[in-house]
Amino acid sequence: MNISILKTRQLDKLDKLHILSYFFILYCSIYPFVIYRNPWYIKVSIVLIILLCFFVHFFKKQIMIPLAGLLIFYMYLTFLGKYYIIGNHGFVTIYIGFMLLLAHVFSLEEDVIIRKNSLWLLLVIMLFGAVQKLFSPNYLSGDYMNYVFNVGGLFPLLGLNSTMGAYFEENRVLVQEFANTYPTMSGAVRLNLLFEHQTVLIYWFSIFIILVEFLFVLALFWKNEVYKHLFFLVFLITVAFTRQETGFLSMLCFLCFTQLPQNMPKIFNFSYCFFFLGCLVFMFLKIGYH
Amino acid sequence: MFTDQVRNALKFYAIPLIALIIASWQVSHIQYGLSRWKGGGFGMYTEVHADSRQLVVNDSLIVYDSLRDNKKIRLIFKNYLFYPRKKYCSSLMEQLKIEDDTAKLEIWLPEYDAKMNLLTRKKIHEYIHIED
Repeated sequence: MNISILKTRQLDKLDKLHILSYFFILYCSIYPFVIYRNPWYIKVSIVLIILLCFFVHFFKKQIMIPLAGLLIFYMYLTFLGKYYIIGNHGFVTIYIGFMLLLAHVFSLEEDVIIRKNSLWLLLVIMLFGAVQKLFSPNYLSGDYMNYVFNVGGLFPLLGLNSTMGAYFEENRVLVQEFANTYPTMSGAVRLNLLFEHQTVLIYWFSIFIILVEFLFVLALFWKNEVYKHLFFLVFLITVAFTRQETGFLSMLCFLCFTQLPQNMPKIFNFSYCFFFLGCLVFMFLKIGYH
Repeated sequence: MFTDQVRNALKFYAIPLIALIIASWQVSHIQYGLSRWKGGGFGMYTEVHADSRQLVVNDSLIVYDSLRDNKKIRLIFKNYLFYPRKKYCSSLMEQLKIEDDTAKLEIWLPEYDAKMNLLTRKKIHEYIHIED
């Protein structure tokens, strides 16, 4: 009786680590495949590595070696000479990759390794995100968010409205023309404002974002798992609607998913998986920012 | 006992610690021209994206789109644009085929003033490069 329970638990744990590993492999495969204009031999190599992963997993019950291989390949493609060019999610991907490898190596403690590493990684990411906003004069004055809003970079669904879409488009053209001119201190361009009191509203929205990010940091230590993960999911969905940052959001979703305990309702598992795979689909279709 | 504690600490906290060191390093280098968007410090959406920076060499604007054909120069250009460092100057001059012994490099960043509703630019970096 006890042995069968133990086996079931072991299988559950293995399942989660394997799901996470496959998610990671999928992400690492799609990213260089879709985002960069890589030559054909790089793309062929990625497809071969994915096939190798499946082959080794099904016939040798071993995923660690292909995972390590793909991680090295990903690092070579994204980081070599591009340390200051790559986005922040590139860094998060590498951290997650090493965390998964560590979990595979010390498989008896895989649950604790994944949960603790992810928790502190999330803390570092969100804390630095919030603090950097707090110390950026451009952000804190609401200027930056107003700029993004004026060029249609916030709430992309609003762009569906033809009138607003035309305003955004006009602003984008103004910004583009401005960017092509020789920079001087005196050069300036006036953008179209969408509605009255827009500046004040977006300013408070900027402040609200900082508060929510600090709340996210606090939420990491909430005891009530249901509220905690509900908050995470609402946060992820809201960010996705505010700004389609599919690359970063998929990594954030991955880390939140690792915090989910085994005994939670399956709807949470499903929601995280759906969100993560949704981000990958958007990335594959080159929709959003990645 | 002690080695067990060290091993556990490495297993559970080494990766976040590396993330913390990289992020702190990034924050400390913003003052030297490193973009908040880059370098693993999670400062996205705090200022206009680094791609909007403009590079001026010897009073002529270098447009990224005009460098599309050459992968190497694109890489050097972006590396310098996102984090201007001396070590990239020589190769940048060489790639841009600028044969002058001295070169003035400037980086400008768009800045939006919401109250005035004005998009302007400010110079965030200036460096006089002298070829050895």
